[in-house]
Amino acid sequence: MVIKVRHLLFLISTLILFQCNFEKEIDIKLPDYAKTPYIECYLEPGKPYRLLAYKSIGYFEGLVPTPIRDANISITHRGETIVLLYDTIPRIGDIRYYNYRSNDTSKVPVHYNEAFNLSITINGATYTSVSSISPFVSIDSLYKNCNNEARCQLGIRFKDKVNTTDYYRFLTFADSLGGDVKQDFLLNDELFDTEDVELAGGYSFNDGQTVVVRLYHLTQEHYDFLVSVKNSQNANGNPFAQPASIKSNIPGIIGIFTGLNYDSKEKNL
Amino acid sequence: MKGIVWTCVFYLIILLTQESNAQGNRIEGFIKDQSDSSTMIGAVIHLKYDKTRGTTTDENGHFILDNVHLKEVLIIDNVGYATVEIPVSKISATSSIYLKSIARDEVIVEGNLYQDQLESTQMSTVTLTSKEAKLLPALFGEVDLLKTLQLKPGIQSGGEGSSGLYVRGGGADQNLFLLDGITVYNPSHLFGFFSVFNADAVKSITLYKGGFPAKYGGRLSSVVDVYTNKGDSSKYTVNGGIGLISSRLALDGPIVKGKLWGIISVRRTYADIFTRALNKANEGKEKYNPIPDYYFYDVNLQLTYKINNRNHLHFTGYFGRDIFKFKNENNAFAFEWGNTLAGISWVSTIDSSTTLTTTASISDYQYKLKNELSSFNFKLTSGIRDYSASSHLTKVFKKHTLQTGIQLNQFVFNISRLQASSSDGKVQFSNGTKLYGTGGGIYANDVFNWRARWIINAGLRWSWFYREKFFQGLEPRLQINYRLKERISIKASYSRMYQYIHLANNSGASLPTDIWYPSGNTPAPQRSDQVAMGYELSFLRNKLFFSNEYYYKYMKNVLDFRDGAQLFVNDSLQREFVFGRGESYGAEFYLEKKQGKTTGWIGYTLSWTNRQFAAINHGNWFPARYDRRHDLSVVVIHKLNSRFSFSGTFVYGTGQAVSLPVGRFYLQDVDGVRPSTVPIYTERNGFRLPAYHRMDIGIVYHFKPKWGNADLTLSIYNIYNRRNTYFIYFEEIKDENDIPVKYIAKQVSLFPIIPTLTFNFKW
Repeated sequence: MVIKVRHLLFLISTLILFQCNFEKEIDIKLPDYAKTPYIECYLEPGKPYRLLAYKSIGYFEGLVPTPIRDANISITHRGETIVLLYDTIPRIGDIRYYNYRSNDTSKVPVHYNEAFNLSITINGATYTSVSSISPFVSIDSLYKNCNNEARCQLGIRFKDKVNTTDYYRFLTFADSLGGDVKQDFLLNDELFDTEDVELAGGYSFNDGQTVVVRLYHLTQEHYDFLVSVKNSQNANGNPFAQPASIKSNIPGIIGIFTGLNYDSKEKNL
Repeated sequence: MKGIVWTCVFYLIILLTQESNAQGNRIEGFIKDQSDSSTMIGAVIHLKYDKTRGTTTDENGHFILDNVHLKEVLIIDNVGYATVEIPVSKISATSSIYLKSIARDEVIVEGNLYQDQLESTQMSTVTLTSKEAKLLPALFGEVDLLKTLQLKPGIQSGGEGSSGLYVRGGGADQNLFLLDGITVYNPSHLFGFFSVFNADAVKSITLYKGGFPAKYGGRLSSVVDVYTNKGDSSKYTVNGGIGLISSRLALDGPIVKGKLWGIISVRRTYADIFTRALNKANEGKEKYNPIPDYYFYDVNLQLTYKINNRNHLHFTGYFGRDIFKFKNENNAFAFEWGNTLAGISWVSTIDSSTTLTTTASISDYQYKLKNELSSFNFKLTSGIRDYSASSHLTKVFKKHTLQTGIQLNQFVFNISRLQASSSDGKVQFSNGTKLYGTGGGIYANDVFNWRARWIINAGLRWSWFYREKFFQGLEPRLQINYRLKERISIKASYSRMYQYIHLANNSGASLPTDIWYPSGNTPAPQRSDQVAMGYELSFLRNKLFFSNEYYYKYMKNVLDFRDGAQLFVNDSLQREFVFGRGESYGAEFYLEKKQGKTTGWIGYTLSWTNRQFAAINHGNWFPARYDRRHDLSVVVIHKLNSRFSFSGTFVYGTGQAVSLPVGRFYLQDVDGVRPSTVPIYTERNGFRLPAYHRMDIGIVYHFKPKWGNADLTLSIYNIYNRRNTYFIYFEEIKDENDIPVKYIAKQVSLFPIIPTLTFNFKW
């Protein structure tokens, strides 16, 4: 009986608190927004040079951004300049979409920590950037912990270089690459005291489920860019967050030009 | 060093001169509230014929006047109470004099209630008693003195329901909160929705917005000086209340009659009792997500030990915790934060005109976040500990009131100490750092009557702080009162303040994870200079009081954080700071009525608050989040009869300045990750939320059961159910294939109409 009275009190107070909808759609007028070029270019060892270029748009302006068609784009590495041309035809094995690419025989070499120089000219204005490919870091092992409800937690172990500052991204996909992203952690090694690093997420998987794990060894500029993207996304919807500007590594425009290196493992839990 | 010598010389002069003042007829006693026998701090005692003589009551409500002629008459004034005149011949040794509250009783006095205010040089000050606050409607029925202060001009809240204070354009970290002289480092419960000051334990609050006495230092924008109830030395009382979200109880009375007395006040919220019951009832249901436990509690303890009539020891203790926890078979999460304060003061009335107060205290604020997974654990702690010692001496001369003192602080800063480990012990990592700082101040202040119409309050404070390097600064303080007519005063003030410790907070809200960080190589101390001018007058036979002030405040080295700053689990916070400047200026208007059946006030502020940082907003000036052009408060209390009183408040404020994204792009990202929309922010705080307004009402029904006094208080928060905007966000509407089809703006509101019934009793 006591419990019932408490429930009743709780119900009354909850009804009072939530009697009206706390959210509603409103009209808001934003100032005119000057569209800015947006670039995404990842240098993946063994794959062709590819780049995505389009223009950012006003927040309520439309759904499809305008691609940039007439840019002059080149990437220079060890004195060799590769020209990227406007080409929207997807290739077999492409998971992502690009609208500029080198010829299919030009592949990104496995040269860690060496400079790659990007040059983009759009409407007479030239923008440049420099980046590199971080060395490969392998996943030592994966492990699981399951609870009584057959929900499992996935952990990863890898080795971090103690004397350098390194940046990582840890992604887990349910079932297959492209499945639900269950964990997406960005971290730097300032937290780690030891060479052995262990990361684990919540009980996000079913016992027996297949999980794909990717560990990216990021460049600092890629890490900073992704952190700024997350902060910017979090600021929209979080009344306590300060807005963050996007940390582009292509001065003058928004975008990221970086090497991409990762280890990938699959485990049946 | 010169300052220390000067202070010692001053102490010596005072001690040498005390003997001559101690001769003749001595009058001493206690000033108490007639309704509950509680003692009154700061009541003013004048002599009717020798108008140059007078004193004020100390922390015990005690006063002493020497060399008083037997034909004299004492006049006792205290704000909110009827003036009392008593012939000296009728006062017995150490008697108690009782004052009647005019807020509760229908006493019409002919004397000028606002006399002290008009005669004082002090401007830009708000004083509020617990009794006044208890008459006003409150959110969830929780009387909160800080929220009541927000109804005064120049003091703004951080947002709906927040108890954070933004004073004359200053940030939430620029307020010095003192509980009986001990610094409180986080004055909030429940993420800023309630303050730590339990109205049962608090006697009064004085908030200084400007014109700071030299006694105070260490923050740029305000001093909130909270005085606690010291308890009754002669009789026992039990006070309490049962409300919607919390209950409270206070026990007050003598422990050793006439020698040791005190008061203990406790408060606890109990939403967790209901959520636990609900969780238990739904245990085992597949789709039910258990609600985490949340509650807060606090305990205040005040003890007074009377050594003799001239010497008292006061102990002030506070312990409060907010606890948020969640536990299931895989995960045990606990988040706990709170303040611990303890201090002992020796108050010595050396003679009728000399008081020496010496205090030693410790203030500690910690937050602890603990998560235990079955294979991995982590614990994060941050906090600040402040060991403090101070001594203040006050000496009243015929035309001068001199005050001097010294303060020393030793700080320990615990910055983001993280410990994490796997259960098999193979992996361990940790970070965090402990920083130490030492600071202090020496000051002297003199209030003197220069000519018939002029009163000048001039002071100088020398403050210093050491960590990595030595910082010091002189802080001149000046206040002038020109008495234009008997009921009109013109006032002006100038204050310089330094702030050597800083709160790492970029949320605009008072969060428990905010971290105190000391000055050093980075960051440098903050500094403010404030000038204010205004006038005050009482009119309609002193029934109404009006004040109008104009101020300008300039702030140097104010802190903000670089875009995307990482404040959580970061022991190198100094890399996240950016430095800039700020300014705030405006006008404040205040009309008050304290007598009669209907009392209340109207406050209006017109203000501008801006910031400039090289690294933010392209180096351009931008409005602070709490920049509020118009801020209006109307408070009315009407006492219908001895049983019923009604109150109402109305607030209106310009909407907060916020940042909204104006553009967006799609991040394609790496293989397997779905593309996402990324908002682009251009201008900091370039938009305004819709105007905020709200009306609350309260009805108090007093009744007298056989065992004492009681009342039922009905508070209705937001009576016309205004959906004030708490924040705005943009939402991406997607179709069944997860493709965006539309972007819309949404506003989120927090509190609808909330009626609350509270039962209060006194036994």
